[in-house]
Amino acid sequence: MREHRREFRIFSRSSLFDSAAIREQAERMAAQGWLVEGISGFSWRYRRIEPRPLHFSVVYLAGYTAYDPDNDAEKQDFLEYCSQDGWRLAAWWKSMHLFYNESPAPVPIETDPLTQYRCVRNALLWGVILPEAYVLFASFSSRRFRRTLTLTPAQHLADPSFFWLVIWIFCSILLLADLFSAFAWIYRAGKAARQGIFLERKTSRLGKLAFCFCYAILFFLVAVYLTAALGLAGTAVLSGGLLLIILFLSFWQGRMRKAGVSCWQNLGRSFGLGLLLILLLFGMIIPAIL
Amino acid sequence: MPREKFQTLTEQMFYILLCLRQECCGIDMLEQIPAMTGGRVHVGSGTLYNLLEQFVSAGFIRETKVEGRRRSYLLTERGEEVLRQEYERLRAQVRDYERGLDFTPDRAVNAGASAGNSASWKPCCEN
Repeated sequence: MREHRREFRIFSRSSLFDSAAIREQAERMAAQGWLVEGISGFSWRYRRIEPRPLHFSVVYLAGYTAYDPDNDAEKQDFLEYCSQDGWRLAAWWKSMHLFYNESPAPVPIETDPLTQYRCVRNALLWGVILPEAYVLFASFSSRRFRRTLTLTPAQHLADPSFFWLVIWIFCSILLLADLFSAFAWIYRAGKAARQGIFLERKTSRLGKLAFCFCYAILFFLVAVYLTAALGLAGTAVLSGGLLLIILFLSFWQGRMRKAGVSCWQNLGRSFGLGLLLILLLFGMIIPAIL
Repeated sequence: MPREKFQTLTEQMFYILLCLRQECCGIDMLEQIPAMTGGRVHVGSGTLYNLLEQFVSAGFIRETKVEGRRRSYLLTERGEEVLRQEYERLRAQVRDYERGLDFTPDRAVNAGASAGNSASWKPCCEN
């Protein structure tokens, strides 16, 4: 009987804050005899346990990224506090930390709705709102965007980069929808917190379907463009190569986190290695195939 | 207009500051607060950790001792003042509640008439 299993799940920036879904998934798997022991952007890793009901709690620690070491001193202090009430850290990814407790009626980790709301709001601000707002601002203030505003529809259609404009508009719509959803939660949850209620962030089934549909269309558009530009073989090599690079970097970052390498060192090394691999892919492998 | 942070204290904040009128280790408060309130109030470990950090930043408490992972804190003068203001606010609420128990509509009308005030305050419910 295998002792470990891995489940592939894609974590978007926003789904990281769907604490209800994360908690329910962990509780469901624990009842089936699998305790989550690692989470990354692509997968959940489990280890076998005696099937039993466990209490899970999702806590957000603002400022933590995928590059921060596992043995961070401030985090260890926080874990020490949580362990006093029987809460153990099961897994974490960026600011999201998943705790479990074997006690039948444990004292919750968060008991003050206002403090809990502020923690999640800060994590949302640093993890979703600021990065996505920056990307939107950078793209809208770029010279390329300003140039598109001066073109007529006929000129747009004649422009070879029109297809990328369509993709860019689609990406902008997704980012704006994400930002709107984040601000809507901040507003509603802020009001509820001041009345003593913590509003857990939940993505509706319709919302998840809509996002999946949009990402599928985006993927299709990019695939069509690349196939037209590079051919089927070139597209397959490019997609496969990028996927392998992303998986390898994710594995590499995880190893450096476990080794206690500092955040900036991890980020620097990952960036350098990533750049090298991309140059290798675009500079040697793809030209060789084409 | 949004309320200023710590303008009024939640129950958790109040009891943490009350505990820190004497030097106390952060972790020990997890047991001290339920003992102080007869089991009525429990502060979550995450909430306690976050509030201690916020109180240190706001100048309400200061760190007095660090022994490994055990940090001790003590209320500052500013923290005493905030705690005293919250205590006064709660006392005022208690007084309003007790006044509300003694209140009858006739008294309000008479009090309003004698003061030359046509508006009279009425309780939200009457027995």
